[in-house]
Amino acid sequence: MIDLDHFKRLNDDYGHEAGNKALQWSSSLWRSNIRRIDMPCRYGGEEFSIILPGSRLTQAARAAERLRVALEDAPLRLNGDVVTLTASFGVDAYGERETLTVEGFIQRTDQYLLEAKSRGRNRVCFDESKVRGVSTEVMADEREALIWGGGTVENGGR
Amino acid sequence: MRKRAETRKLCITSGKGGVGKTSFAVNVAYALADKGHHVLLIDGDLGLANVDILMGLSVTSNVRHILEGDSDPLETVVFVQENLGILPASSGVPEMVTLGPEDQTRLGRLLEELANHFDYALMDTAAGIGPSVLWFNNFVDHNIILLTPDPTSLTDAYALIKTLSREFHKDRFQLILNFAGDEEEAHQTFVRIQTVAKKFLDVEVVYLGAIPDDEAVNTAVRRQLPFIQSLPDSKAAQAVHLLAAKIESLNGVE
Repeated sequence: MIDLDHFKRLNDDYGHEAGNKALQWSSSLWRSNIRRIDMPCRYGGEEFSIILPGSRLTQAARAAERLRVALEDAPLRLNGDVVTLTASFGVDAYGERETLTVEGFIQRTDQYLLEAKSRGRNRVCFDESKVRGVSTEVMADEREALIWGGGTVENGGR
Repeated sequence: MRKRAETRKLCITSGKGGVGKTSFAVNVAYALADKGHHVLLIDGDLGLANVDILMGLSVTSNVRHILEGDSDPLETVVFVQENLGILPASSGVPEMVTLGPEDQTRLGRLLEELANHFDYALMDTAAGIGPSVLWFNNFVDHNIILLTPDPTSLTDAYALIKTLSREFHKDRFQLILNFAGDEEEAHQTFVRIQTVAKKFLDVEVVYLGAIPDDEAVNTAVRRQLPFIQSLPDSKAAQAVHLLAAKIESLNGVE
């Protein structure tokens, strides 16, 4: 889910025509930065969503970061001013074992968009605990304790 | 066939291959059957079925046929004795290694229905921590992890425990040491993994027991015979009987 940052202010400052131009500008930038199978949609107002079939969360988050940078790096000329547009991104992946409805999934993804907004906009948010490969990887200290012993139960009893 | 009041679903898994997982699954299935239980042994190694090879069975239909709707699940079970049935997987069907979400749901429903006819449903998983291994581990009530004192087996078993605890919130594992040297070595290996699992993952690892290294057993496996039948007096066979008793005392569903 994507939301153009400060869109209302842009409309107020430069007028609705400029607002429309900003929408077209961002969407065409994004469209040229995704794969042919990806589906960009205008979800409403200044909100967009892009469906990335077959992508893992890491890939999707990387794609979102690419789109974020693409927009930030391509300022738009509006009424003689050079305006830098930014957007906030919420990313989530629908996993194999999910039982959520479409609405439920959109809602969940929206939470990450809200988080991106509240953390200062112009950023990509997603559940990082889901992609940190290290979360199930056996780390060096664990390996060492397994092979050489020496670990002690510090939190005995639960 | 009658329905069981309470079926216990267990899976036997290892992380690392070659630790004697299938051999243990087959033998403990016999041991539980010897105690009078109705036992179903499910070959969860969907990519490379081998329970049937280990038991010298020849099978005509398998899990794959059931999923495709060509076979009645209960008719696919091969009964090696009145109270011991085997559900064979198919040999060399690579697409079974990664089941799609729909097939996974169907497989779950199907196995659940089948298991209801038995006191114990034992699942022998593939090695590694691939999708099917995780699926079976998530499906069961008790996760039995078989390992050897070998360091790579130890870390692979731990990797499996870590993945199951992080991704499926499993917090209790039953451990069996196979090819154990002596009781002390077995216990040491166990304490290590128990300590590390408690410290880093906050999960409980319970020691179920050890099976001593036994040359006679290796011979039996090569001759495709369950050692618990062909060598009932071997140390390994006795150890498996003890483990079966421990398994009986596990709670139904946690």
